[in-house]
Amino acid sequence: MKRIKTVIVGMGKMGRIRYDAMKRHGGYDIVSVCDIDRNSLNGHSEPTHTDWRKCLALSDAETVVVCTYNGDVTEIVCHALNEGMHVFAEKPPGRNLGETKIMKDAHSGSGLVLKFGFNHRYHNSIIEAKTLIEHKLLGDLVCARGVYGKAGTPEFDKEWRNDPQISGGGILLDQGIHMIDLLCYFCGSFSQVHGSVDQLVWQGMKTEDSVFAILKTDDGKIASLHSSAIQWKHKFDLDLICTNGGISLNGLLTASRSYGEERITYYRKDLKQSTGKLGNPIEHTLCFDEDNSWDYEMSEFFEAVANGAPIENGTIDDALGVMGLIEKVYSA
Amino acid sequence: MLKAYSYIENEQLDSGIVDRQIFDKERQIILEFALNNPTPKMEKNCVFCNGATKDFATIDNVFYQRCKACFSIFANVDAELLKRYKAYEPLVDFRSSSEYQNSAAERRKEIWNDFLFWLEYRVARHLRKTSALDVIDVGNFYNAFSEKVKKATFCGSYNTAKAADIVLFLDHFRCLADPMDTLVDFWHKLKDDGILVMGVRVGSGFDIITLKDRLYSIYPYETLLLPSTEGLSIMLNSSGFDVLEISTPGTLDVEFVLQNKEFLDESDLFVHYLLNKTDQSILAEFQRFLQKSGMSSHARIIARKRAL
Repeated sequence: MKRIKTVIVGMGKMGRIRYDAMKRHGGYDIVSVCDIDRNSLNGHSEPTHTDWRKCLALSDAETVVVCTYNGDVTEIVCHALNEGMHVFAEKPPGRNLGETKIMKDAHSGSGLVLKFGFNHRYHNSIIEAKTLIEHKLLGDLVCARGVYGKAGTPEFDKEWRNDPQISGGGILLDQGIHMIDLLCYFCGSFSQVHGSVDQLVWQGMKTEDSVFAILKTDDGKIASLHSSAIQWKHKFDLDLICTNGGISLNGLLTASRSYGEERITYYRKDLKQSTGKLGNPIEHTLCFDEDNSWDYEMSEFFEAVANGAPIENGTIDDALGVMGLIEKVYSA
Repeated sequence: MLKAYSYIENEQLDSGIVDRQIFDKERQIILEFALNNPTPKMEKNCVFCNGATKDFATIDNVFYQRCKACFSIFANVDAELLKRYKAYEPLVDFRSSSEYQNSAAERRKEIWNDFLFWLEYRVARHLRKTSALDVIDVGNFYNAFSEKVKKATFCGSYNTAKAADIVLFLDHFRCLADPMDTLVDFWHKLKDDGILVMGVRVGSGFDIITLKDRLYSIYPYETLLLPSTEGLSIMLNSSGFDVLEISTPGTLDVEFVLQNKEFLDESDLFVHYLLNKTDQSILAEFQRFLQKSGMSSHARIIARKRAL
């Protein structure tokens, strides 16, 4: 197996998750790790840095994995691309659409791999749902309903995520971006956007704590989104309605398991009641007790860098689409 | 490995699949053969994991063992004798009769449709194709089901002489003398990355563990192998397959135990309480728990041929 010399910039929670996934993969040589907080580098045997520019300059790495605050992503990604490095960057792809476009320009014509961490596409329930939709096993997808909510924390309004200078936005950009990405993944590009962006509870906060959005594609698919920081519990639900049946995704397997068991339930339309009472067709549910998403995602990035395989998920065009929608929701 | 469970909200589908008269007639024919062909007690290590075993039961003159390590149950039967059983004329004639075939076709129509949808879905998931696939369907009993498989969207050629994308092996695993050889044979019949789809009665299921030899649907020579899901995984792995998923979507465990509750061990207080002091909705929920937990006795397995 070819090996890829890699550095990780940002060794907070996401950096550590990526570090572990790359170690499990076995094809990555992590040659250096970097974080502005030296405490985050404790225990690492690799060379450590607190200045990302020095880290990139001294490491002789082919790739960089960027897991920093949102406000730093664009500069690091563009710098790395200009230095001829392949880049994997956590979501969001910049604080706003303008920053995503800057990264697009830096990447354009470089021949380098640029991938963003839209990790949810690699969850087992999403892969299963994509199979049903892609092969039209339940007919054509016509509409979707997504709810992604989190509990918040006692000092939620003071977190960096809600400092627009650092984050660029609130719950929609932080967590709702995953649901937006999934709605695009299943439905295609949305051309019409209606939304309501509010501070329903955290009144003094500079970012939103709730977003409702209605999205519509040119071919008539409709999706609704509720991105919430005031769910007071962790919640992930996505319903996909097709012409001949339905799919419900409930829960999401995470390290904390706080989003509940990850399940996909599918059923076929049965208006003639051949499998049960009207309104209660036979349903099948698949449950997952392993989260392979980080491994799948880092494996795809590896294949792209090492073997020239195409990036299927998290391309710069995916990023532009999602950030464009978010900008429309914020300005709706 | 992806672990998946089917969780069926509507348990009505399976309840009518067995015509008791036809079942009893078939059972009687098989019993005649079994009683005329006793099999001497012959102990050996577990055929699935090679673990140590202990006695399980003697049913109709045939001795069954249970593996202490993997919980699989099996009987040792001479291969020649099993060959004679499979060619036993009264049984072959009865199973090919219109009475037998028509009853199954009528009663199992919906469950077959549901199964084929599941199969199409899993084929799309694991082979990323839904048409023009080469299929080998090994030993299913029902002509009507074969016809449905032939017409399935994924089926390009049925019982192809070429290497197959899919080997379907439904229901026959239970009466093999040489399960490992059979699986290796399937390995050779599959294309690289082809998949083996099995339907298997498993010995780790609730009704089997609870009723043991008093379960009327377990009898020689029709049911000789009752692997646990663990034992079957070990054997598939040893035969050159990677197990992609095992689910236990069976819906009849509780019903089978209910039908035989007079034979339950008096000391099995939990099961007595469950069956006698709870209502139908609790029993349905318990059956769903069994499905989800991998403890129903009907399993579906998908395994991919591992390239050399």
